[in-house]
Amino acid sequence: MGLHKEYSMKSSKRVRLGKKALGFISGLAVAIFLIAYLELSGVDTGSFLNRAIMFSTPLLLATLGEIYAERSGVVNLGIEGMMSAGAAIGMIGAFAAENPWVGALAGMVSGALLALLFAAVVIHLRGMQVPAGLGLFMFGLGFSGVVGKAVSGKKFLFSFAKLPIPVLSDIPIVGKALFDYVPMVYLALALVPIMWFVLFKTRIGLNIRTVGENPAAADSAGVDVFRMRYLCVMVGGALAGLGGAFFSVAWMGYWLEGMTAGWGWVAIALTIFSLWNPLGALLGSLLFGGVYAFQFELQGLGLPVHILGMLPYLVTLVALICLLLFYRRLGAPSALLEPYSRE
Amino acid sequence: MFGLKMEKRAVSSPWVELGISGLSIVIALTAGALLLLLQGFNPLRVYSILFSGGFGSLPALAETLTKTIPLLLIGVGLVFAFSAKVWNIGAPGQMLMGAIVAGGIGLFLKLDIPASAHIALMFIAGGVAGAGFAVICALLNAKLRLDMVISTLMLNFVALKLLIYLLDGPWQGAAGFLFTDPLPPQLYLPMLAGTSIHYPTLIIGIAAAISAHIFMRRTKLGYEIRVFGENPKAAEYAGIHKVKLITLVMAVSGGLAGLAGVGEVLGIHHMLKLGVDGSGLAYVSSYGYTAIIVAWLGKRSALGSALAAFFIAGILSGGQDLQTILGIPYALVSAILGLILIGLIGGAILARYKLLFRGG
Amino acid sequence: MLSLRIPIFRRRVEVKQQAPQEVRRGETVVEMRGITKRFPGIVANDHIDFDVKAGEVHALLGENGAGKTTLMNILYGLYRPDEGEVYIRGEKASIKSPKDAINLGIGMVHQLFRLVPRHTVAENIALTSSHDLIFPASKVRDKILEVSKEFGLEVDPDARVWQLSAAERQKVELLKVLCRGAKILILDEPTSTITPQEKKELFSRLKEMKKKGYAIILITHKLDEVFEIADRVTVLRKGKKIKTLPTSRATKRALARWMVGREVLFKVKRKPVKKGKTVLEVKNLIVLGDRGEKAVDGVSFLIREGEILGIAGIGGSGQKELVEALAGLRKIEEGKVMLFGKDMTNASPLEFINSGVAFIPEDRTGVGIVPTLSVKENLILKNYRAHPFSGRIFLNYREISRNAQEKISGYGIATPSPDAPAGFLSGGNIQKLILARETSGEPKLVIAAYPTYGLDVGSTESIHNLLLKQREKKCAILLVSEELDEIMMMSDRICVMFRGKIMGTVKGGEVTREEIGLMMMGVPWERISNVRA
Repeated sequence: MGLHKEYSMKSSKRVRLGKKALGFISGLAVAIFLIAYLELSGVDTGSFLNRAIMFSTPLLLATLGEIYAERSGVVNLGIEGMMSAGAAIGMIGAFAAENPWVGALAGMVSGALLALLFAAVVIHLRGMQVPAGLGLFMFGLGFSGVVGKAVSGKKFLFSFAKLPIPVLSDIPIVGKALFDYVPMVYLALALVPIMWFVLFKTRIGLNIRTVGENPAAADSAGVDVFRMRYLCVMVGGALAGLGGAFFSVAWMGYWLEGMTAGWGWVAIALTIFSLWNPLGALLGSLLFGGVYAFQFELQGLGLPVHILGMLPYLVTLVALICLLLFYRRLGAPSALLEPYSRE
Repeated sequence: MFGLKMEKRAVSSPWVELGISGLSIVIALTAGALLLLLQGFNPLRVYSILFSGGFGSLPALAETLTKTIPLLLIGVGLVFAFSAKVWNIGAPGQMLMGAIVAGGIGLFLKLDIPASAHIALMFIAGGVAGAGFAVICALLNAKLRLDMVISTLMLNFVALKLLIYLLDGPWQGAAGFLFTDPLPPQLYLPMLAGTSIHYPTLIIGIAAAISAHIFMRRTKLGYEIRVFGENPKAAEYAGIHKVKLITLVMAVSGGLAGLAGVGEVLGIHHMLKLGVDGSGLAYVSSYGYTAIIVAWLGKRSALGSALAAFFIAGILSGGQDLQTILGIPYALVSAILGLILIGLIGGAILARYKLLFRGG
Repeated sequence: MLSLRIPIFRRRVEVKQQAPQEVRRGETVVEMRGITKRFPGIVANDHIDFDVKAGEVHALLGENGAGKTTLMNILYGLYRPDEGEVYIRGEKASIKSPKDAINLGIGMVHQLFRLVPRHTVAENIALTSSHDLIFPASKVRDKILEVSKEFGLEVDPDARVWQLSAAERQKVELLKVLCRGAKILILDEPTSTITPQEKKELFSRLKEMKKKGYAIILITHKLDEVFEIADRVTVLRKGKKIKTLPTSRATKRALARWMVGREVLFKVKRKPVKKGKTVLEVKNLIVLGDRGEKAVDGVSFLIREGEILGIAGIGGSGQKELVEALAGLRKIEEGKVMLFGKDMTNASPLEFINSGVAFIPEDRTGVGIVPTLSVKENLILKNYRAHPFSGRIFLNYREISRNAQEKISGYGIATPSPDAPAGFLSGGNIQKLILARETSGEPKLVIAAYPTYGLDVGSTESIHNLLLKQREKKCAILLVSEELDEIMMMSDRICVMFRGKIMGTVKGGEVTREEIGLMMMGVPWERISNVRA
């Protein structure tokens, strides 16, 4: 992969914080402006944002998981396969227990198990990560196609009920946008600060980041490099599987072959776009979810459906291109893609 | 505690490589068998239908050969790309672009030239379309260091959406479904009697395989590609031009994928429709993805890929039979292929290490 | 050795802080008995006995490849011995991983630092020394300040490691080990990246630690250091222990003989060669480093035919960037590079190659060869483009094989066959391959970056002789090395770099080690020569 491992000239902490605050405030200002404009044009912004955030949930989950995997030095290109398997197995589990939570759990477990297979090949057997991930992708999609046939197209009637937070969800626009979701969305959003905190402020996170930057340093310091990597890859798989289950159990209510439509690949792109930071993952998945929701608005204007369908994929590409134009070096974990051994 | 130990080999050997390929296939099939058992199918019955559907009779062999054609073309192209460690995952999209361009020319470009020239033009245009589509990614990679995997993949979906748009919109046939009107009959490729083997494309494929083999082993550029793929830093010191190489391998692999797309349109479907790239319901069955396994199983050598293409085409044909006879979704084929690839990657370590059992 | 351990998720056991051990000086704290470790084709350690007492510095001496690092890696848990036992403070110890070693109070500072450049000093130290689940870096700062004061190892805990010099990084490595409470220290070639003055500082600190009862193992291949600081010395050669004795009873000549197995010449024969015209001229070169800083800041020098110019300096003084700029791999911002008067500033690597420049890179296996390709294909990496190795399109494999046979015998490259993958060769043979390839085109300029790093004495001698032969052929040679002895022995003239600038350019025979050391620390030659006068 064409990622550069160089260090950027870091200005002092205060300047950086100031820049971040400025960026945040200006982003907020732009958002407020956009919302005001849309409202005045008669768009129901509240439900638009609601849809956007819901759409972004599976992507957010998968990206968060892949961030952890890549932070530990492993690129798992098989996300699409794990998501697909999570969608199929999640649906099967949900039907079997007539309970969506069981479906979600089943999706997580299937994703984690697939990730375990991948991890064994890539960590213990030191296999090349890129083609192994491609194999996982094909296997996951094929596997889900085979097992999912039993539930293909069947509507799941016991899906999650929306859980609007009382009082807060009644606030115009913001209320619907932030406080009116099925539980899994809240879960995904809550994971963002938690995973950020763990990665950057705890010892486990320090261990993970060290393993991804310089596994020899971690090994020498007594950190079990293999164990860390297995853990992170499986977390990635579990979250990808959970995201897949969200597709079928929570969002659509049924399972169809190929329903993940490449969103797993978008997660890979978003992992880079997020600069391997859970906060960035939130931003990226919101962007994608927003564009995806937006294409439906544009359909209303009479633009061709399928051309609009290209939009999310193109926007992902363009977003990455813009990022690369501004940042000369992205700061990928330095040991990414390299298997570790003590010899 | 009983332990499995690995010891580094002193020398590597080509027989070991062959053994690993065989072992990976066996392991993949075994794992597949387990999954089938869990689903309530009899693996032995499944595999016998799979292999007879691919190789068991003359019609089966014909079908396999038909499927070999696109796999061969794309596989050879991917050998180029993978030898340079350029991860071109965009073959499905490049193939679709070739098909779209050929379909467009066939349906809408009325030219007063002999049919063979018209067909040749379509092949060239399709190849250029596929190559161009791939070179976009090469340039994004060269100028912006945009990851090849991501750019090629996103463009796959863009190409697919483009196809659907055309089929549902301006190019929709009189029938009103997601396919165009049939192409004029003079633009059909000739086929071997009684089969759907469109042999001109096959000839192109075989020629491509042979030239690729000679190219990679015996020419300066082939040497440069191998050096670059194995150690890009050493290549830089040796004065090898990175951007030129990446663009070259992408153009070749994209072009060959485009040619495969043209072949499918002109040789098999005689129209533009969904599934022209080999995919059914799930996009993963596209020849473009399957060819990745072909290239890898062929040990990234052009001639090896030719053999692998035939073998995997057999699995695809057999998979179709499985669907019609036992009702097993065609997706099983992708699952098996994915397992084969994983097995190959995992097994590669055996080329560097010997397996020893050690007690105590 | 690779073993398939199934990762079981063990309960997280609280890492115990090492209780301060009451150890009597003179007590044996480490005993290794009969340690044997085999790798395919080689016995790295052959029934070695080794022991260390509290309050002593025990030097482990041997040339590159003798097995010193392997032995210590076993002590530190990075390798497991095939035979033999380890006793720590009299008790049998099973050290299966660095974690076990750390818990036993063993700390290791590796030759190539194991730090994360992107993280802060505190984050790097917290990796071993913190027991806190959250905010580990901030909570370990107090410990860092305490320990750094005690041992005189002051470093800013919030600095990012990439900003630090090599000597400062070494302090961080030491702090890492000391904050964890280690009382047995293993230092692997600690002086290879620091100036002579910094080395003096390090050694005085080690002496202080010694007085406090620490047991210190010093891995080195430099005889002088043994006499400077070690109480006892153990000599290893080709995996076997040759001798252990107190340094007071050792002589330099005896140690060298035990190290190499034969009488060692300490000086290489350098014939006087008449210098010809100027081959390379560099004027006011400015080259930027990876972080946008001026790595090479206004450097000027020239090299003539038949001359060896040695570039001395501690790591990070700009040599790497200078060499890359001269190979066409790094952009030159300002200044000129001229080859025989022709302007080659910012020429491509290909243009340099075609102008007769040979390049021996610092990273042999990573950059100098393609490990998976065969020896014979590696040998033509430089000149495959032209006759006789290729025509317009095709390569001429008959010529390539013939050339391989010639070079293999001519340069003494030990390989099972010309078709064997180049990565299977030993370090010395890889370097010979690279030299054979680079010098085959009758180059006018050879740029050699750390050419004998990590090589045993035999290979080092071969490489030196090969370079001197090139010099006799009127080739100009730019030699970059961290081994002051090598620079002083081989160079006609010496340039010392510090922070991108040249502190002085002096004639080989007219300057002392101390003076070079001062220049390496940033003292310009004018000041030194004034003091002299």
